Amino acid sequence: MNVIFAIATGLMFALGVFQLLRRDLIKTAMGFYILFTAINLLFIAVGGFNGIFPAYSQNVERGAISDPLVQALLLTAIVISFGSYAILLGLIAISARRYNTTDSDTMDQLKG
Amino acid sequence: MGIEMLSVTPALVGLIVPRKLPRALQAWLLAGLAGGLFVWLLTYLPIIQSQGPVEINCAWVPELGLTLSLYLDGLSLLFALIITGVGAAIFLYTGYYFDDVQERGRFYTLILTFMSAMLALVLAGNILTLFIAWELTSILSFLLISFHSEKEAARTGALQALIITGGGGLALFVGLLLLGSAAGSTQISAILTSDALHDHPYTIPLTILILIGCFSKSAQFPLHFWLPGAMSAPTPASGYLHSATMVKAGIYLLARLYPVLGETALWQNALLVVGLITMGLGALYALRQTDLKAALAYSTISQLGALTALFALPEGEGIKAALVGVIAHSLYKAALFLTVGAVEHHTGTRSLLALGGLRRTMPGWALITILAGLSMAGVPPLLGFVAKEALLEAMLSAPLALVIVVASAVMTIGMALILIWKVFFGAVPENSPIHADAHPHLHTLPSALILGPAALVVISLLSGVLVEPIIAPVIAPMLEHEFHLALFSGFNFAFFLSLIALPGGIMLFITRPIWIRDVVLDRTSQGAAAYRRVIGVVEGVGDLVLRSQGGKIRYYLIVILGAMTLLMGTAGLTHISGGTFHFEFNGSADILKTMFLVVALIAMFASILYKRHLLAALALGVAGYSIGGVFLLEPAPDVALVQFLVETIGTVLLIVMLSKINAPARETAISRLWGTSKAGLIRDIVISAAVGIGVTLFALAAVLNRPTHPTITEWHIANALPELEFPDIVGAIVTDFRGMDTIIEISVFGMAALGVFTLLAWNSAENDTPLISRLSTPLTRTVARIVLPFALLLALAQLLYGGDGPGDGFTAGVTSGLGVALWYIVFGYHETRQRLAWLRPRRLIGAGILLVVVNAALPMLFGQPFLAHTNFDIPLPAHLHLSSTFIYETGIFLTVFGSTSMVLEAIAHPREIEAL
Amino acid sequence: MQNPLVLMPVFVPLGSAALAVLFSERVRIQRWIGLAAVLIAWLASLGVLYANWVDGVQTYVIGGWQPPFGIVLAPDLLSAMLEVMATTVVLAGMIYIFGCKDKCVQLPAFVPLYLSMATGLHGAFYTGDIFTLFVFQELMVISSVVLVGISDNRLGVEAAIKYLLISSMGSLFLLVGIAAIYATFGTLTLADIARLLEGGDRPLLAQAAAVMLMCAFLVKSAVFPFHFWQPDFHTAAPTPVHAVLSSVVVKVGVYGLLRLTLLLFTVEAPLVRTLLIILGVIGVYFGSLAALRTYDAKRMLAYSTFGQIGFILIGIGWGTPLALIGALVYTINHAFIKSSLLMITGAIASRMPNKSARLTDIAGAGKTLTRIGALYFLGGLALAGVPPLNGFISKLSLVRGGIQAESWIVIGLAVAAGVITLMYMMRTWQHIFQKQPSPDLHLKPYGDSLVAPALLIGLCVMLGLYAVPLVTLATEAVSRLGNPDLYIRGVLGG
Repeated sequence: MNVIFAIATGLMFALGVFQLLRRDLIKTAMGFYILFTAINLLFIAVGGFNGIFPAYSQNVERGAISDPLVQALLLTAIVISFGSYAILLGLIAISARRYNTTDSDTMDQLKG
Repeated sequence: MGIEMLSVTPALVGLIVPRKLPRALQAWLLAGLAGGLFVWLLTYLPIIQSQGPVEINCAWVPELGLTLSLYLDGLSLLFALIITGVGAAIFLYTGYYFDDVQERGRFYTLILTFMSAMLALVLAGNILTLFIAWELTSILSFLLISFHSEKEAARTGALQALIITGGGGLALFVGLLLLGSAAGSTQISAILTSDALHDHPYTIPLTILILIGCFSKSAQFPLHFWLPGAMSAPTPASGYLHSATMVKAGIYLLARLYPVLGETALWQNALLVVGLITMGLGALYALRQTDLKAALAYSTISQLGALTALFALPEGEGIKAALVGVIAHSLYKAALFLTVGAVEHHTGTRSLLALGGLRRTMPGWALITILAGLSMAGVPPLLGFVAKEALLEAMLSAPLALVIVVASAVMTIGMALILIWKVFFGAVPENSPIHADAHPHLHTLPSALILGPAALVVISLLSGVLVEPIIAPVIAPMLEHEFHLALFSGFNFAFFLSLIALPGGIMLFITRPIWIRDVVLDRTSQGAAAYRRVIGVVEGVGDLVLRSQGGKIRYYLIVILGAMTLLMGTAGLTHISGGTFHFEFNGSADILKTMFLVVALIAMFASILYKRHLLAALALGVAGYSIGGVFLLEPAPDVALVQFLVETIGTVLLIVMLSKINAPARETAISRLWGTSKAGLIRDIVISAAVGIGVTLFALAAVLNRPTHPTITEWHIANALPELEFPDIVGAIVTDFRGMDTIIEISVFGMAALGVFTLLAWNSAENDTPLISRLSTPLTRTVARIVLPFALLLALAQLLYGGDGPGDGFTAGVTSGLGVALWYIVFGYHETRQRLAWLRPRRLIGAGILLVVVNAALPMLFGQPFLAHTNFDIPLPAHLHLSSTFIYETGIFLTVFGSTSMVLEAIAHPREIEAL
Repeated sequence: MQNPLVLMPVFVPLGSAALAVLFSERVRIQRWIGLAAVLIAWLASLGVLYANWVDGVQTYVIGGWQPPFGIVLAPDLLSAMLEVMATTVVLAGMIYIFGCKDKCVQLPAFVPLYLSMATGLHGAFYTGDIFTLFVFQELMVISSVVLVGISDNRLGVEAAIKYLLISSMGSLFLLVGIAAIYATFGTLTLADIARLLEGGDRPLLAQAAAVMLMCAFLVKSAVFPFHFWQPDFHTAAPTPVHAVLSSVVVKVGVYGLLRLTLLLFTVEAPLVRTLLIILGVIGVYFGSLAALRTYDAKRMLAYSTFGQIGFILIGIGWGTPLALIGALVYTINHAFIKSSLLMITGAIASRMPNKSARLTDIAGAGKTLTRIGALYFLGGLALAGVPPLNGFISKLSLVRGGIQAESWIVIGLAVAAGVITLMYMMRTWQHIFQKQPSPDLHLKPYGDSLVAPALLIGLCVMLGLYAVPLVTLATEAVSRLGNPDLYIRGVLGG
């Protein structure tokens, strides 16, 4: 299964990067979002072991549980990437008003 | 007090002595200071002769070989005497030269500091100490050249001088470090006795580098052009720095290192060639200048070339001539510069073409010029004659060199004669500014101005006549073997050559109309032009470099991702080989997970294809939920829950933001979404594919190369229950084992909310309207009113009874926040703010984070570590226990609730936000 | 051994940020809270440095969960030195905030965000856990993005978007690297990873992970070709933030690279080092040439940072003890020089009618401001490495390192670039302080206070004249880094 996760992660990266490179800033933000979702998947894939039960202590004896540490890391990563995403959206909203477009190619006053 | 005081005294005096002293007091005081130092130095002469060099060491940064050392031997002493002696004359002159009190004070500070640096340079006993002083003199020279900074020429001349001498300084720096490394010490005394340099591999490069440094400082061809450009400096500075002292620093260093490096072929050839070219060209240019200061500058260059060439001679043959030359040149050239300063002061011009007949108004100065000029021309009984004789005598062994030396001597004589005649004797040219009706335009010179240059000329004359008692003892300590020095040393070949040179010079003088043209040569001199060309090329490259910063974020991302892929492809992934490929697929859960993944991928792909933002956003939401489904099946229920919540608010946020951007603005971007060129699209696809393949390989390698040792999480699993009484292991990790991550994560969340709020409020537009109620029916109003307390109650229950679920605070916060969101939708902005006045998001965030931090710090009061898990033994109803985790989750709840409502408030109506 | 001082630079600013949020209506009180917090952080970081000097690695095991199972803050001498650098500049920035006339500085969110940026910065230097490093970096990134987004400079928003996107690519690389490390080693504590790597256990992925992490740190340090965000982002920032960003925040990446090559991937280090030298030389020229030709005085300093980081990378790339000492000394000295220059430039710009630092506007603006001119002159000389200022000490130790590494071509290239540095600094100084101002130029009578930059310049002069402590510390730090066991045992015990 982890192999499938790994491949799916790679596919999502490809989609995310493509979306990121669009001229439309909103699409770029979406690409950003896809990339961070892909990372979450990668974390699950690299967990030390997978199981069929949630990571509760009472399940330990019953057999395999999934690596709880990567889940904990994921929780943190999800919240943090959401924070960045929110700020990105806020900034895009402001710049769209300023430049009167969400075309990122027009947003090039800072150069040289 | 030792010699260390010598070099710091002038700078200290320059900083301490008030700048606004009366002119005469200031001038005499400072000249007296320099004279005092001169006398003090003289007292060292017998000491050095009897006991050898004086050395003082003071460790500065021993790890770097940096020692502040002073080393006073005969060579240092000679240069130090010139610095202080000429300094005394210059300081006296300076006092009467500047009329403006402010300017005078500023100039004195700079030139006194310069004197300190220059003394430190020649007294340095450590090559790094020497380098430091070397750089300081360059900097002070920069400041002095641009003293009249309002003039463009002064600024460019100063910068040019700094770049050349500073650049040479950098070469010197590396050269000196190599020297220190090769000789095994940075102390000059140790280097002088080191014999490691003879066949050391560094010897050649270090010689080249040090010579570059010396040549740049001493204005040797082809780096000579900065010196004429430096003539914008006030004349006392030109006379002091750019003829008597600083430009001799290179000569000093050549003399200093001559014993260790002087016997190599590289050294001898380089010095001879460069020195002779410089000497000849300098003399030629000097003859053809019309600007008096430029003429003097080129003549200085010529003399410096002669000095350089003298150090090319093997076995110390040239040293005697060089030392006498240094003394003679300093004396006459400083006097000439000071005279030109007086002339310019007096007439307002220093152009040879505009001057004439000044002997009437400046008789004393005429006499000085005659004496100094004749010394330069090498006419007995002045010291210049002795120097020239010595030079010719030393050069006898190199016939080709002798030709250039004699030719230069001829040109120098011609130039000296022109100078004397044109300025003071010849007829006043027509249309000259001084010609007009007699004298009203002429500025009267203070009578004391003449004292400084007069003293220099007198010494020049005296030491010429009494060369044996005055000059010989000063240079004696440096010459190992017996030497002969006299005004007249007999009718030898050198004397004969002098005799030829004199009529040659006179011939040049007579035919001067051919030589002097109305051209200003230093502006067009080839060195300066080449310098400007080099700078131009560098600037052109700079412009090219700047063009890469094109401002378009897409290209930045392409370059970054491309570079990343390239690095991974060439360096990172090349070492990965296939592990054991081993495919597990366990039953229905995995089938479902795969399906969810496929759905997510399709949804993501759809979000790319959809041109309408709303549809794309919804597709993205679907993708997020599918990933949540994968997490749920993993099984990672806690992650799935947070993923669902975040997905929800994320999608809501995206849609709300879309509504805040007007449609035309989005349309324009969408219309260009796929770009105009096919190549661009292919490029993007290639980059995406490359990144995708790279990550896939990477992830596969990560997955297939499982660790052979247990992961740390085994410990977490084993200890969650016994240590924390937490059945949920993920919860245990998030709240305790890795609780600090969560604290920071929550702070990120809070600060992000504060950030979005501030950004939107600060950048709000005039036409922002408050969110108005769209769903205000009695039913929805009731629902909204019920939902919020209910959500809060639910949050409380979760906090109190949860205890075993991670992210309880987070979940509670987001759900309560969604309750508030419902209010905004139902009641609109104004009514919500009115009714929910108690809801102060900012307070909640602040209090939440503070609570978390304080709670974490609290156990420290009881001797427990920061963020320790503590159970408070407070009797509470059944199933409740108050632990630090509870407070911790409460803090998280407050932060998340506050953050969510804050973002909502900002979106609902940024313009009304108070306190902004 | 638990040293609670280690906590203070991280959690005092964080708690104070929260406290400052509560005092949002009273900006003055916020500032005093902030000043107290950064002052405490500064003192604590000095204490940690001293304890490190005496006792070796200082640790604080959070919650008592022993590493590698819990999170540990574990500053060694390297971290402690960089942390003192960071707290000093943050303190100076806070002092600058008091005298800053920018509008955005009056916003109630400014001080809290500044403090949380400081928290992230300090945490990144102290943490001994690679995932926590990511978390702290993100706190720093998010806070600084907002601070730039609200800048008085209206282009701040554009710069913030660009930075956020590019920096997120860096975070992405970092996360992928962390995932790879966890997958192969099953641990997140730096010392534990180093222990496993040292034990000869060298999984196939190590080199890929090393390159991935290197890229992440290169983005943070704005090294070619990951630099595009830096000139925009730094220039658009409010002056006190700019001073912190361009001097110490970029050093987080430098710190990461040092850790990477000296602790974690010591076997892969030759590859990484070669790359660092190449990128460093490119960066030196790219940054210096761009600084020579750019149109804005603040932007020039940002490009200059780009070039200066190149010098540091070259030092890390040489990797000999002397070169590492050089890189470390360079890193610290550059922070003080650059922050002071930025504050001075900001102070001049604050007196311009339009707050512009464009070279065309600012020509001659400092003609009458002699004191500012003197400060800028000293700073410029220090940056160009002119003795006896601290920049010279940096240059000296770096070149000595190069000689030890016998890397002649690179020494030549690096030293030659020094001429460009001298040129752009002095030319700009002449431009601002010596040119005759245009008659239309009417400066405001008051601008930002000069207390903070004057203190920093004083520090630069002091670190030049009295360089022994810094050099001794750096020497000791490098010698301890040369023996990773010290760190591993210091953190993991045993």
